[in-house]
Amino acid sequence: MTPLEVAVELGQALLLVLISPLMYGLVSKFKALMQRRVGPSILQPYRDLRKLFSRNEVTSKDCSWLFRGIPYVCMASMLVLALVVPFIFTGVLAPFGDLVTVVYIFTLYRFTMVLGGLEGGSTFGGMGSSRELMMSVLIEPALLISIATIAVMSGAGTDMGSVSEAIVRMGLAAVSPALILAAASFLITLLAENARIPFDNPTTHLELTMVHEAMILEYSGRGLAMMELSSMMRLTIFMAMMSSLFLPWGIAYEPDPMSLSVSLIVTLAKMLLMAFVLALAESILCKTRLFKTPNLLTVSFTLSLLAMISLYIL
Amino acid sequence: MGPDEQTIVVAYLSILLIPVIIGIFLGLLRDERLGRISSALCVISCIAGVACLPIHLYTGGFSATFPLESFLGRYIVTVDLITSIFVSISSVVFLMVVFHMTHSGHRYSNGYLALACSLFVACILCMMADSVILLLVSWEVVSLVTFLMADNNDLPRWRFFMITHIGGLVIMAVFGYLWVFTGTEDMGSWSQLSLTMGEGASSLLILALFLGFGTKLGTIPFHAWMPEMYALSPTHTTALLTTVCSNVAVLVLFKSVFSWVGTSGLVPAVAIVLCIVSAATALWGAMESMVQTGPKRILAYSSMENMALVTMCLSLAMLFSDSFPALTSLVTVAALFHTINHSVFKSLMMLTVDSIEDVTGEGTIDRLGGLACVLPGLSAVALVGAMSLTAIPPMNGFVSEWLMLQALIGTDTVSSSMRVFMPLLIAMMGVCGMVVATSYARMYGFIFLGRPRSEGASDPRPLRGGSLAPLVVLASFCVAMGLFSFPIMDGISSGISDISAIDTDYRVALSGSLEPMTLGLLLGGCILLMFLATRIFRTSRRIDETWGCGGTLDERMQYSSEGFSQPIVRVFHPIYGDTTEKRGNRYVTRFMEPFVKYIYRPIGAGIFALSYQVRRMQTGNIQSYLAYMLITLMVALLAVRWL
Repeated sequence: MTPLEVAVELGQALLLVLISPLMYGLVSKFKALMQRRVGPSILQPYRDLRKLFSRNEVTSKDCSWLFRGIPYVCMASMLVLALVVPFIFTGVLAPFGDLVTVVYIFTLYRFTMVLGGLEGGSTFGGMGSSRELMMSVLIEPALLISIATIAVMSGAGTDMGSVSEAIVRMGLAAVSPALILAAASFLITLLAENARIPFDNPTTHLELTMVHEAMILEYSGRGLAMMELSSMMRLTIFMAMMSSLFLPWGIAYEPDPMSLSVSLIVTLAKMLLMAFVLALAESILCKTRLFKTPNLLTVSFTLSLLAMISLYIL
Repeated sequence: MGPDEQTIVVAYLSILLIPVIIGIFLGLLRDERLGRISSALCVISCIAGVACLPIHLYTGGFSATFPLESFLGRYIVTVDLITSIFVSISSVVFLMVVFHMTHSGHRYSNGYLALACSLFVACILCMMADSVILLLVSWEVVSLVTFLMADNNDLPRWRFFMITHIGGLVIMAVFGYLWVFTGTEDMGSWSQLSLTMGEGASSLLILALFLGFGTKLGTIPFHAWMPEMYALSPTHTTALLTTVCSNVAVLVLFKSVFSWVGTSGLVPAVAIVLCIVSAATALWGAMESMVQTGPKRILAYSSMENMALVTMCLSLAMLFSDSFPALTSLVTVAALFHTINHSVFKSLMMLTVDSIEDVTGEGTIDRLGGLACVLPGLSAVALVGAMSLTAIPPMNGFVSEWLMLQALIGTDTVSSSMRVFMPLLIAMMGVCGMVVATSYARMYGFIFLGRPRSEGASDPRPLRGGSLAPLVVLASFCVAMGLFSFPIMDGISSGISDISAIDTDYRVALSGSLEPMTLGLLLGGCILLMFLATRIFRTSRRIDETWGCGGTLDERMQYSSEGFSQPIVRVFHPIYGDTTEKRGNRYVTRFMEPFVKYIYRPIGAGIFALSYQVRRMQTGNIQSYLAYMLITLMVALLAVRWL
């Protein structure tokens, strides 16, 4: 690994962290425009975070030492993912940009957040944790199979950088039923993992419909800021994975200025497109009842299973 | 082996076995001081057991014959690399359990301590055994001693007795057959017998071996004894049973299948059936563990799940052994590594549960809560255990599950004819993983977080001095075995190639890379970075009530453990077969064990019906008994004449 590559990789991780509030802002701006509202500025999430970081904290008297540590663990797991997910360049900093590990780091994030929900002894936290786990039981197999599909399809193993590069080099031959089905499954997973409509409403404050919001109800100030930022990063990392693994054309696999700048433009365009798709989906769908969500998640699971089986049969 | 090394081996085996055997006899005497000496002697032997791996590395493997003669042949022990790894890890676990046992609130009788000593001897000898008689005797002693250590007179331990003895009889039959087939009781000379035995016989033997050891590992439908036995026995018995005894069962199963019998020419259907049964066991164990309310029952079902993953890997290894050597090596390493990992984190959780029962006096998670505030040390080590069980990086449980998934995704798997089934196994791993995560988030959350749900939990007694130390050691093993997993797995891999036909490097089959140490450091570094970064803003913290929608919350307003798992139960309703019934003014959800209802109860009813029929023969009339004897004698004589 040359110093140039290291610099590019650190730069892309930093970019990923920096644009994550922007992606949140963009999605809500698009949604507002679709509803013919003006909506908040796309920079609003940055202002919110800044405000939260400088606020004083209030914690419950029933919270233990764990509660104070959870935001740091959540942030750290997302920072590690930002380092290992290829974004504009297929090289990744760490020698373990491994798809299976990535799934387990998401588990680390979810597990700590769920424990946070059980802190404080309020009903809402338990409710959010319980519902989150119900969905993740159905998300996890779909996520594992869809990433296994592209790992097998690209023939590059489970190293994300190589998968991305291999799919680009395959050119149009990569556009196969397997890739399309796996991408569709991954898209549903993306919505479910990030607590978006139709699974959960990120803007809801109606207690009985909350999932993700219910879990982070007890945080305030700095802790809340970190939980919010890490969930924004989770969305952006999922979008980056979508763009660099399932739609990787345009990504740079050599660290020269030309391909990097092309990749930067193409990737940002893809992210913009995905924010638009997300906003569109959230505008035309409505939040489903909790016990209807397993149907949709099973669809995602079936799609990923079909993707992998089509890979073997076709 | 030179004379010096021979002396070392004899000295080592003496230190390993003699103190603990003296301990057994001292424990039999009724004097409290002697009981303490007995456990001290057990500790000495455990420490010697931990030294097994260094001794093996120094001598390069050793073998010894005990100076005992019997008409059933010699008593031989052999220590190869894989055995020494298992002996060392099991001894660490045993040492910590014994240490915790002597520092916990229980006042065990001397007899119990003697039984613990004999369990240690039996487990060590069973792992090292290299002759038929020693293996069978020590295996039987393991079963009997755990039965006696269950220390209750209830049905569950008799159920355990019955099921493990059925397994024991099958194992005895297998080894008896092999003994007759080879003509020698020295298992050191048994190697890959399937080459000479033929496909049918070896497949049948392997099936029988999985059945025999499966009774101990809780493969369905032989798990019926597990939850009750775990819940009703003293926790230290359970801790030893689920960790050390499982280690013994997996090691002996591995050695018999891959070293002694061998897998060449195995009928693939056998491996496929075993794989399906293991996958079903894993799912069932994970799902059931999520709805239990007793912490020991949660752990019992989760043991079932972990051991099922191990047997699944072993059956995949048998399936792939002919055509894909690297993949076979990968799944066997995953299986054995997961076994020793499981023994470490499961004993950690068991001892935690024991400490909690001790300080609060409560036995269900619905009456606990909030312990993290009063017992921060215990909650921290328990968190390490729960995270290892949930396979969260960089703990040890994560690395072994990572290996399993690598095996299912790997390039060799893709070119095999079984590839169409791999997505199903991946999905199984995914569902199991998340259900187990739910189960442990629930268990940890309801024990340590939230508000205390009973008086015992709100005002626990202080932890007994010294009872935290073994937990800290086990927790640091969980982390260290995760961070240094690749050296350990290299050791396991070379141990496997020493005694079996699997001799390819397992790393060849990996399609991704993992550096647990870097990952751990990176996670730690990021936490530190965030901690420093947030110091930029000067803020203060205020402690207040939990937000309760304007009212005041009490502890009964928290989620109940049943409510917590209810969404998943509702989604998987057809599998759980749960029924809700009204009891007084509250509703209770009942879960049934279909295996008990549809397999064990009909068999039991059939046996009762049969014995009623037999009773009709028992008229009490001496002439009719004489007639029965005459008829039996005639039939026997005729049978001998004709056969």
